[in-house]
Amino acid sequence: MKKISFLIFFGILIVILSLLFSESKGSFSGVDSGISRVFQPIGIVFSDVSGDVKDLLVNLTNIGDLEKENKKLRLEVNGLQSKNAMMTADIQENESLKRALGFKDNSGFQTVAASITFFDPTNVRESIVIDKGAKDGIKPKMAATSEGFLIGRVTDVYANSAKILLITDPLSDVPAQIPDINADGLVQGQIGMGIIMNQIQQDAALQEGQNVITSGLGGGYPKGLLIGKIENITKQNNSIFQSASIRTQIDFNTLERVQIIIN
Amino acid sequence: MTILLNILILIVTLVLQTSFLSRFHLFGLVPNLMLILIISFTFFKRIYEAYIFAFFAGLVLDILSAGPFGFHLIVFMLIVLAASLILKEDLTKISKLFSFIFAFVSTSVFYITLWFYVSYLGNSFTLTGLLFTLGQIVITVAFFLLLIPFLKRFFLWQGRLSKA
Repeated sequence: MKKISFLIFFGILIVILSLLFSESKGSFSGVDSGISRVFQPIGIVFSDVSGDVKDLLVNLTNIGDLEKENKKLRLEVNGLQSKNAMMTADIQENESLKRALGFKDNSGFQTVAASITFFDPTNVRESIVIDKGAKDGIKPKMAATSEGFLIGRVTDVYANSAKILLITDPLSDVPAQIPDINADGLVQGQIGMGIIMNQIQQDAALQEGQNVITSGLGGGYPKGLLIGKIENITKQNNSIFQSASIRTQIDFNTLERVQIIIN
Repeated sequence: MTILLNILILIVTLVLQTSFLSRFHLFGLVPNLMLILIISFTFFKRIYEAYIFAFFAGLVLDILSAGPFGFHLIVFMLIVLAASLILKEDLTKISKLFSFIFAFVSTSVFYITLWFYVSYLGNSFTLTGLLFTLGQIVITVAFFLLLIPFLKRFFLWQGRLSKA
């Protein structure tokens, strides 16, 4: 039986090696696409159902907290509405000045909305599979957002699905900037720890609550996408750089819909 | 009939793992149901069935995961190979201690290898990452111990069904 087992093992190992070779040459995409397509409808259903179940459980256990959060958010919305009104006047003035100068406005993003079908099964790597692919205009290296926050980048694209590497993945690097103090750094995922911003100049005046956005350096991500806010700052006197953890408004465990920036 | 049941088990576990369970974290940890199932297959199924199941499960998980591609395939194959070398024919009489040790070692190989790969490539070996990985091992083994009596009964029933 042991001999048979070894024979089966080495037989399958040869198949695996040829699959790995095909995958590295990119000739495996048809199989990837086919398998994604087969499991996609079931994945979408389970993903939606699990989101609803989780929302229900969270709501039942956190009713008291929800009420407090509701009051706080209502106050915040009122404040934002008044700021919005002031900004509307600024926008109108800006548009008028642009027309006067003949300025061409190209800051808008074109996006494709997609639903999440699968999460990474290991819980160490952080990635998702969505239900839109090459047929919808999605290409590798396109940025993905959710509720206005950057969540990741497209890595693999198939005909009807695509894989997105989340910014919480330990192998994800996002060139970022803190616009308040014009400091640059690199946002990286940490296993089980969310995201941190590294390689920030030692003399940068970091403060909790400062916004972190994509810097656009390296051309990997469009400039100006909101990542999160500075939370805890780590500074060592004998180090060239300082770092800070980033708090994002997005709960990556409850993601349901994403937008892919296609231009 | 057995093949259909095995395919159904593969699909259900896969979808539970990647679409449903991923949203329900216990302190950020999620048990690896597919790994639990692969180990159970090696205990209660014939070796060639375990190899076939491990191959297809590993292939699909590698396609859905961020990588490295081939990781699930190779680790699952190694688990089945190790089981085939250690276990004797009558697999229903394995001791609880052995099943715990085998599950613990298999899960540890899976997660420690993945942690090392990710940390090496990211040039970031952190204590938190290692503790998180150990947490993943513990929760997966805990769920294995919870589920193994039910899985044993299920596979025995499946065996009787295929003989009938």
